[in-house]
Amino acid sequence: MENLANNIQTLSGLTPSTLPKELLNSPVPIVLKGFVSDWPLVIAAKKSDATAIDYLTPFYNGFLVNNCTIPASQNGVVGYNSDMSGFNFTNQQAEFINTLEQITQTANNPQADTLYIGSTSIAQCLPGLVKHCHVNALSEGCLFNVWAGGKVTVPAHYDVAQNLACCVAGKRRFTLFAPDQIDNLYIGPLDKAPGGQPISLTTTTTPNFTKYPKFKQAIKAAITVDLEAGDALILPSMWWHQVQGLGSLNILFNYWFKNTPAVYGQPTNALHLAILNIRNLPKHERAAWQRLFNYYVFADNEFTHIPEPAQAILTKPMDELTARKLRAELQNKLRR
Amino acid sequence: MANHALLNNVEHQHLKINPARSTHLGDGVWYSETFVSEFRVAQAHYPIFFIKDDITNTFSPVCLYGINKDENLFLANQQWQAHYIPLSMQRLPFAIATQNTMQNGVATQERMLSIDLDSPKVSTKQGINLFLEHGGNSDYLENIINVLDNLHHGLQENQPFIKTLIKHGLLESVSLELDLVNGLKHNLLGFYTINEDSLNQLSSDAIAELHSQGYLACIYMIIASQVHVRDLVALKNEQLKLQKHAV
Repeated sequence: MENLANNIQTLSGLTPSTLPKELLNSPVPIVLKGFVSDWPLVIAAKKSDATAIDYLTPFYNGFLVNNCTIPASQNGVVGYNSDMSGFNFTNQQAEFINTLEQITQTANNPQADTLYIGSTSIAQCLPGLVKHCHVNALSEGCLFNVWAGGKVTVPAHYDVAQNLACCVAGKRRFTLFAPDQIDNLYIGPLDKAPGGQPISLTTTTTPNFTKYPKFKQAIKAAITVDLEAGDALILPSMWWHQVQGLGSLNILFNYWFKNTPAVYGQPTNALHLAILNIRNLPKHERAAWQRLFNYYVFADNEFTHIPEPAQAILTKPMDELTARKLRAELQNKLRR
Repeated sequence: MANHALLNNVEHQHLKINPARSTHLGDGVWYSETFVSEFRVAQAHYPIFFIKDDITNTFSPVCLYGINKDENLFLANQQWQAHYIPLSMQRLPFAIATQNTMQNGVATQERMLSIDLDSPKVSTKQGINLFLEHGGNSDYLENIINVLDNLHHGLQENQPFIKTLIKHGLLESVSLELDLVNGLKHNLLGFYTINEDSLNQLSSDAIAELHSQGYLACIYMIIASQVHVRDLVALKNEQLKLQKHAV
């Protein structure tokens, strides 16, 4: 492993009832060793895949999940077909427990297709399990999803939400890249991405430095973290992460949460709008807009030269009423 | 036959909708579904009955516009001659399509607008634009979205209402004998209405329950709406007289 030098804080002894809220908002990733090692699911999973599946079976309500199949030729890497007109995997609705069994049966066979179940709401398919997975520091509104698979690699991508990722079965390797690594990651299409988030077109498991030379620099700057069953990772919003399943059945529970009020909306919308409105302008105009964005959005400027009530949408933090008004105004202006 | 497609501002950017109302434009429908919260406005113009779907064995409330199949007596001079058009007719030629999607790992039913591309109301030549110059929704389209949204939510009120009517034995089939100006008698068959005898015999507890559910007023509005059958007969007679003069 080429990047052991890149350190990450590892904390032991914290549990879902003792984890302090402040840690969840850490701007850098933190590993929580043994965070959920007391969970019966984790104890079962440490015995064998079969005991983990046995533990989950009574919680399953029959809800059909999205079962994805990557052909064996793809080395387990989620991505696109050769001309990028579609993806390199197929999906179908399938029974959750059956799929877990199929995963364990095929994961160690390099000739077999690679299977995974993409992000699925735990409340929807394992409703009774939710109350056993309470994390004190998390508020009610968080998204609690399961991701399960064999030896699957999901190339580097970011999530807008913050994530408390708990490895509850198997072993999972996270390769983390700080947000400034975007230039070295060769990110694929913005509008068509597996799972919705744009992904890197290369991975550390199948790198092609001739085609993607700057990826070497990304690897140099990367932090690699191996999570055993029971370990968790606090993953800040916007950190690129490549996720690789190493065991024969790797189950990850994600708690996705966002501590900024939902009324401000999705930053991705602003990016898409800027791509529409600004990207097509001449270079000198874009440079001017870059200044404006920096001045109004990115720098922590105070607008004290304007009397307070007149600051209007520049008041920070923006109150809900102003946010609603601004949204309605934008909505109207976009309808043209 | 209908040819429904999911509406989008790329393939359908130049489409226009002819807002006129006529048999030729597909409005020659003799009844269409209404719903509980529409009764108040609908009963001012149309008789409200129930129809039964013999396959699913379910009832639906409908507004009646004619006394024969495919006859809408409110259509004249390219207009619908009434102050209110029920939402299930206003929506034409659009419908709601649902698609199951996963949103953040949660199975969700997404509602989308579909358009019947074979409807004679649809063209690129005549009528109101669906989209603005740069692809935004026109006011007309925004209004259609509202109509379908209200209709979608409204129709969900019907089955609980029907269940309650059945529970109290308040639905009965009805046959109406209508006298027409040409001396012929016309039988209106196959519709259901409120059984007033059963209604009059309900216990005060049952009446109180219907009232608390907001259904008692609905029941009386349906009963009262039947006076409009006379309007339908009058419209039909006028039509017959005109035909006679034409001959």
